[in-house]
Amino acid sequence: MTTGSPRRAPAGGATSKARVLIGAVGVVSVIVGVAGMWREVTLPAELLPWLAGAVVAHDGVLVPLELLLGAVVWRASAVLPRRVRQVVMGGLMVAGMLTLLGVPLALRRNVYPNPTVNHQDYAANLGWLLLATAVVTMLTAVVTARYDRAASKR
Amino acid sequence: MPHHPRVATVIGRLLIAGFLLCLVTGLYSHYLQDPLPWQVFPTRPVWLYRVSHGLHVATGTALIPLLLAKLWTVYPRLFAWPPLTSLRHGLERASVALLVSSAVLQLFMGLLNTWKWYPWPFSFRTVHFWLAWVVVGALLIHVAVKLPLIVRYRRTGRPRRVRDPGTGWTRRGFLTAVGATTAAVTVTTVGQAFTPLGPLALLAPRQPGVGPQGLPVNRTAAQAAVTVPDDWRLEIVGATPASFDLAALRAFPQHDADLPISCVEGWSQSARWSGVRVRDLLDAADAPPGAALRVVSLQTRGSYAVSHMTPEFTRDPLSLLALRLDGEVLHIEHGYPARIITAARPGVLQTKWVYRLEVLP
Repeated sequence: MTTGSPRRAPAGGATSKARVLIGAVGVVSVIVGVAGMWREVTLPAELLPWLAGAVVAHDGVLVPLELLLGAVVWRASAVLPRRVRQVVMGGLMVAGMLTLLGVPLALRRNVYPNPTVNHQDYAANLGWLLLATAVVTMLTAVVTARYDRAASKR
Repeated sequence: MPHHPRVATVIGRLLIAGFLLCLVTGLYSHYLQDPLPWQVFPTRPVWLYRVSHGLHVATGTALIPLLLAKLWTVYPRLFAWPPLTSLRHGLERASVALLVSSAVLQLFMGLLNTWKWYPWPFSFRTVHFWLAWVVVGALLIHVAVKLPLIVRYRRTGRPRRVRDPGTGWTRRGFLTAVGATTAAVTVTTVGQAFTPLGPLALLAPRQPGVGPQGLPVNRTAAQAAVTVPDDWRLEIVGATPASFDLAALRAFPQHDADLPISCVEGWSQSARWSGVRVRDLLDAADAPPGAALRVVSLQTRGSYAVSHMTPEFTRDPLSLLALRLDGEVLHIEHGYPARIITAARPGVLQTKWVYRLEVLP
């Protein structure tokens, strides 16, 4: 790549044929899936609230929470160098995802009547994992800060 | 700048690869359970289903952070103004809505299935199967719509280190964080199937080695409402009906097989099973070679009280009616007095508490 801007797509031709083909396969696949659900899911009306709920829960709850937490941590870490702040944000992302898995598991612990399913102490496990995430994030932040300081001196 | 099309392209490609892998491995698992009349399945390598389904669940789990990251990068587009500019634009937005809702629900359902949690009123298997076609179809439509953009950003463009003034992320920083998050989710769950990482499976519903005789249990005898009668006999229904009690079964040549239990919910673990070859039992009942079998369990609850075994598996010398596990008599939770164990099939077909084998024409 020699120019500053990303490469342009080749005009028309192959790309537009590929678009039609990929799109057509996609439409057929969606129709197959919807028809199958129509036939075999006894109450299609019961599925719709779950499909809509997935969007509402994601777009309306999860992402606003992510944005809020991200903004808070970004502001709170203002004293740190920019790259180090980004490491902190990365640690936050890992911690957030682990929490998203760990909390419902902790709530489901031993609910299912089978002692070999969901049998771990997930609250404690999550605690250890968050601690480990914090330690790794701090170490990465220190290494990044030192590396950047050394690089700026050169 | 995570909202850059380059970031969406990089994560998008991983999502496509992941969803396609899940589709292929999911179809394999589906048709093993409900074979079409012409389908014949490989019996070797014995770990084929274990790897295939381990990949299905591990990939589906890894797709969760990838999908969340992808949707986060394009979230501002949700509030594009004006919301509709043309019919074409409307169709594009509708296809994105379909993609988001089906993909989010599909991964959510899959994850909850690994936890054996079913808060919805419909059948998991039916919806997960058909929804897969919708997800992959909507994904392909999306690729078709965005293809010029995907082609334009298929390589890294410069400058790489432009920052997003709003969030402070660089493109590379964001992708590194997404990679670390995906790795964290994988490392803390994959040990339920990839046993060397078992001790790290801190957020997995199963851990290798946890269960009676050191093996997890999918459905307990209490859950299946099983009672084994004192005068239990194995009945074989065929050309020449036959019936054997436990002592008679133990008098057959006993064979060992190191085979994994690979559960549809994603955990798997290998064990040493010993018992009678299924084909020896069929011979004892004068069944024709290459007969198919219907296996009937004592269990009175659950949808897997009956399973079918196609000819490639009834002929396989590794297909056993197992009486022992790792040298001990089968625990009731593992199917005492006798259970089916075969190579390269899902755990739900390894029927426990067997009392009747019906030879199918």
